[in-house]
Amino acid sequence: MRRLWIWLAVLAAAALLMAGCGEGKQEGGTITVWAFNDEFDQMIPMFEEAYPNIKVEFTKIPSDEIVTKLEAVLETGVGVPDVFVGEQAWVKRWIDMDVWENLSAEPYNAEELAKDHFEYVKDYVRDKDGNLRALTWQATPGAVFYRRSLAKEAFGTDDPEEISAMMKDMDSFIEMGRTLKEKTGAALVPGVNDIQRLFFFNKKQPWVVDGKLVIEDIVLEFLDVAKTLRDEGLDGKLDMWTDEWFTGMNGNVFSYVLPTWGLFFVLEPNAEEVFGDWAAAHGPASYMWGGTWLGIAKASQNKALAWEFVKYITTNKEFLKKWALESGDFVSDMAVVEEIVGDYSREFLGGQNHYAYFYEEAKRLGASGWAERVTAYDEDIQNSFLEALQEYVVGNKTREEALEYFKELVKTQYPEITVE
Amino acid sequence: MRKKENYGYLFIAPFFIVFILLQLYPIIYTFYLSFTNLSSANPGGEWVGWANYARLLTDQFFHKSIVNTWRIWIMNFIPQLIFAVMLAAILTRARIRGASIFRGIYFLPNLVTAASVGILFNVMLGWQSGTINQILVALGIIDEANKIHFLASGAWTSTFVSLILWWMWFGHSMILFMAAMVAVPQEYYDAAAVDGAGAWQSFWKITLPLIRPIMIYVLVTSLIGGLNNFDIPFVIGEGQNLGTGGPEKSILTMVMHMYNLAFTAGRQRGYAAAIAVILFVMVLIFSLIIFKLMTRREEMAGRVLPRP
Repeated sequence: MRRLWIWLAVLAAAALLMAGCGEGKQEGGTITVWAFNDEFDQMIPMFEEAYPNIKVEFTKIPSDEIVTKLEAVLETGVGVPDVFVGEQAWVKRWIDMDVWENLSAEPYNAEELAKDHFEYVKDYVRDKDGNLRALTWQATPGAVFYRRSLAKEAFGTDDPEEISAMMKDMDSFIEMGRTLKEKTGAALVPGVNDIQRLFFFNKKQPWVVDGKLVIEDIVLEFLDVAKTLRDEGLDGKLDMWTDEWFTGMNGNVFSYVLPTWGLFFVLEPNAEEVFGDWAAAHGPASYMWGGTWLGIAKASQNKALAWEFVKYITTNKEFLKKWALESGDFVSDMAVVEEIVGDYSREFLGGQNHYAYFYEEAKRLGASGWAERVTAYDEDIQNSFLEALQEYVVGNKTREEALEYFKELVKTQYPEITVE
Repeated sequence: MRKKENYGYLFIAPFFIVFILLQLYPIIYTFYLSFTNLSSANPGGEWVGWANYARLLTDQFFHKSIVNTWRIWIMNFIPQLIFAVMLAAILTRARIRGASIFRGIYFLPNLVTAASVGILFNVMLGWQSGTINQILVALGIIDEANKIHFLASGAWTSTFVSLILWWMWFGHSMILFMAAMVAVPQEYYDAAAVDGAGAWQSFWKITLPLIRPIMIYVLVTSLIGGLNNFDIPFVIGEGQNLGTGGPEKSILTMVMHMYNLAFTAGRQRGYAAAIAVILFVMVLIFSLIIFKLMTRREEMAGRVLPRP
């Protein structure tokens, strides 16, 4: 009898202890997370500090391998991680494959938690029934980053408002290139591929409608603008992501078309010689580029714990605020953005408040309804288009040949798409 | 009578187990896949008979990839063979100071990984600030405005890929030829010298015929490697805006086409498997032809030589 009492006392103490440190959270355990992002190296310790009962086993896979690796485990159903990421270029794949939990439904009810998120970051990952399948901590609206000194020389002002007004549409943008060339000898953009999103985000239809490829006038315009830029010598003739392209930031290139992360991952580390000589303007179109979403695997055995992780990283306002201030990342939650937007200023941009700019831009993207036009095919189709465009621009093919070539590429990659 | 021991099978079993699991099974499975339409659009993969093979007949990129694969290989193999044999002859026959240093230097490119080679040549072949262009401008051969966009031209890109393969592999072939040449008995050369043969004649009449088996070996391994060519064209194409396969798809090899189909975009595993099968058959046929030619030559040699 006495023994029983001792056991009961121990049990009660243990229960109290668990309740004490868990503060209403579920019992602990280990979850597995697969991602390519370096950010998780900092985010996971922050999560583990807040949730000491949950251990995260993080596997970092290079971005060019992660899709193939994830596809392999998802197809066989063996070794699927509890939480895995989807990047803007391929997140639609997971949604179409139906491998992620429906976060709009019980027990997640993510709609309420993510009510302050920018509309477009949610719309991008809704399935065909409108359910949220993933959440993200960031929004990645784009800008045209330009050199202040060159702007002053060519246009007499370096004010972001005035420059934005000048480049309100594509024709004015090209005109700016001509002025630049005449007055400073600088190139408007590094290369012709850099401006792709200024066209692709102005499309009115998806690339594929009812299984048929749709080539809109706006993408044909891209073909012509690219040729004009190259033939008139208005671009820097630099291929994206090459060494020359990075070097161009310190050289004779006026603007780089990059999103939020482009500022601190691409421009700032590479444009050291002209630090502070930059500013962000709104280009001829609103666009976004990149961004990573987190979803919970349907095959997961630890959905409750996995949800704690996803919930914390993407919707915990305290965390998001801390993250934004520490990393400079532009976060997905409008309430958090509003809290910190006031006193932000970036030295690299000559003290400009880029947070305020991106805030406006992210709201505009939500209103444009663009996210609903995106299909899982888009990234590959656009890459094929760029391939054909390059052949045209460098003079290997005529305009008609390039278009035929584009269609042939799409047909080869996706035989199920009808191409006319 | 002594009992036959079966322990031997136990010791050779690991190889066969690994072979069956990791080679034989995938090969058979690939044959099976080539008759299905397995892809992201058809995750189930239904049986489609010969449809994939029929599609190969109309796939212009596949046809192009066959031509590219052979062109890149031949343009690399012929100079490679000439250089390797010449250098091997010079380094074994002539008494050059520091021959082993040269041997090491020529072999070195073979040790560099494809990824590094890709970065190196992308920097060299760059357009506006590429090394080769800057040298040409500095020498006054071309002017600033007319820099050559090597990586936008199919002919240049393909030539450079062959050049890289030549640079990476002639040292390797050279080492093999040197080993073969060292094995040629010195007496033959001495006898030829007594008969008044010059260095050139001894090379043609003694060295070359006697290293023929090694030449065949180099030919066969190079051909198999050449038909399976993937990494160098891939890393050269990857850095470019023209996508994998390079400008005008001039460096799209058969394996790269297969890779692109199976692991990018529509993940057409079934169709890609059909390419793998064709590639397999191609390698098999050409290897057999070469082996056949080799054995016939040797029979002939065996019959002809002993006669006075």
